[in-house]
Amino acid sequence: MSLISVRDLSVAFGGTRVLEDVSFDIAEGEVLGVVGESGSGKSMTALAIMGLLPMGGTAAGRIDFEGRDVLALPEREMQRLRGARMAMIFQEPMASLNPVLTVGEQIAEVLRRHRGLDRRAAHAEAIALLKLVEIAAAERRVDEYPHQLSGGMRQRAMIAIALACRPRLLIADEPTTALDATVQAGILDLLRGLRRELGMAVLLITHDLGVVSDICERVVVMYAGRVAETGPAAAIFDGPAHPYTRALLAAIPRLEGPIGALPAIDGVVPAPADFPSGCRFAPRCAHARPACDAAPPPLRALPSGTAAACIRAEEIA
Amino acid sequence: MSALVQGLALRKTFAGGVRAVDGVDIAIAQGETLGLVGESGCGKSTLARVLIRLIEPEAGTLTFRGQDITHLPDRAMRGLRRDMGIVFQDPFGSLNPRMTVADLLAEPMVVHGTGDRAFRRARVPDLLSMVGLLPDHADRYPHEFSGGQRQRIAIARALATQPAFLVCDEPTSALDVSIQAQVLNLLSELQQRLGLACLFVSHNLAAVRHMAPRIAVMYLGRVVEEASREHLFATPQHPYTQALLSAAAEPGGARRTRIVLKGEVPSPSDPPSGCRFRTRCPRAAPRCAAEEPVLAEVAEGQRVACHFPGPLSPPP
Repeated sequence: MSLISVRDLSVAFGGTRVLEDVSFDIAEGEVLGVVGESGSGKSMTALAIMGLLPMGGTAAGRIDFEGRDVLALPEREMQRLRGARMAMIFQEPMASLNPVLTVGEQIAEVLRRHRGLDRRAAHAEAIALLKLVEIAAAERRVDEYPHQLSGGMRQRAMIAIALACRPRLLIADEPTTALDATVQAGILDLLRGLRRELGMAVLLITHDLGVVSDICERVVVMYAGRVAETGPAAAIFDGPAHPYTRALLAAIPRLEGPIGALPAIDGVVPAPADFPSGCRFAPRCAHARPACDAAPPPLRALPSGTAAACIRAEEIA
Repeated sequence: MSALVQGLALRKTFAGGVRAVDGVDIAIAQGETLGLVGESGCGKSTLARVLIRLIEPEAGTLTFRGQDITHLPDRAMRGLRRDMGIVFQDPFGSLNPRMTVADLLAEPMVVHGTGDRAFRRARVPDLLSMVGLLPDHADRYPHEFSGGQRQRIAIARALATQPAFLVCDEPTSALDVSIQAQVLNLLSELQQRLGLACLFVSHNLAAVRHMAPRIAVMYLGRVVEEASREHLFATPQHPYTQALLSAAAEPGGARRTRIVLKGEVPSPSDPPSGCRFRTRCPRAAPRCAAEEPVLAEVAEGQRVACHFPGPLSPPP
């Protein structure tokens, strides 16, 4: 059974729908990657799940988490869920950590609020959590301030805070984007290990298909507020069916293989107010036909093992 | 090969004793693209700026077209600057929001006294079409453009005075994947068409491989390896290059055996004695702490600063 099931999720600001008909499931202990470019709606999806939409944003649809629709939960209930059952880490750990509190105090805050630990127990547990995220000399680091840590250690500290209550779902929004490659590799290894150790599900949001390929079992590819394609990571990379997925994979410079002009995607992602009424990728798509502009194409299961929102997926395969 | 731009024993220390560039030899030939790759704080952006004296080197020698420009007075240096352009990472920060595109493109020509008003005005549409924008974009302001288009404007601006040398400092790092490909294609097409010498600085190994036939790898203020892209990617010899390559995540690629580096990058204000990489190096030996390795040729066109260079796993 799914840990979380998102059904027809839409998010609007005033009359502008930035997210439309997004559906996916995450099983217990599974790592799902949500990948897309700026404006694809991937971060908005995460914020809707956490009940943290920016001011003026309204969500519609269903988000069933452990059997309850979180969109219908009163804020009080939602607060109890957040941090305890689902937790989130962000791209920029320096902006998420409080600069005037030690790392230990910030972990303890979660432990005291959600688990009711006293000061001494919380401090001891904070050290244990820092060890869990493989921070060396945890006993010393626990009393340090964020500015005393490197970027990679700060992100580990953020993960420690997120794990304080052993959530069943960790939402990681571009967790390694601000980090160097060698540091990123360490964080991805850590997430992989934690997920195995704690059986926790991970929703990983990223623009980086390399990161997806490294750690995710299943992938949701988003474009302009809708799901373009979804499926097992291997199928997405080996046999992408949606022209956007194919174009995106082709446009990335590689570490191996021929060097030449990159097959770029012309144009830019439209702004939400200018989303086309039919397929949103059609204006940039090499395979577009007049029929593509008629209506938003539904996600369809394809022989390649993925489901794609493209009416011509079989023809162009 | 005579170098267009050459730096010898370049050094730059910032306040607090941060040795950002600490003894670098580098040369770029006319019409050549050199890739410069490394992680945050390795000194790659500082080195790029030192090469065009946007940052003054404190030691070493800098030559341009064979002329020593290390201590060239400002006035004479200004005359040379029309031959040097730079494209920065953030096209939101590098274009004055209160200037129209036409003014942004004309400004470098005004500064360098290129042509008269009519000439400069006539050149704007040429520059725009050169970077794939339209002539009627000239009267718009930067905020009316997307990130990719803004980077095109920044490239046109850098090329306005027809430089021979172009520095590109992380030119696509702020852009989306689909836009990155457009800008990389544009840069390599312009580089070839205009015969530019180019320094392409990036943390992205795949982008550097795509752009540069020759690549230098920096770590903590020094170049640790320099090679053709074929050698660098097929037979990297420095353990840091090998770790960097192993950490790169390739979409759909088989997961490589990752070389996990121990510890953190040491402070650039207090680098380790001897080899700077030794504190994290799987091959470190006593000699590495005592003696600083110099860049030495290990294969044709491949230079490595390591006492124990060699392939990752010795062939059976």
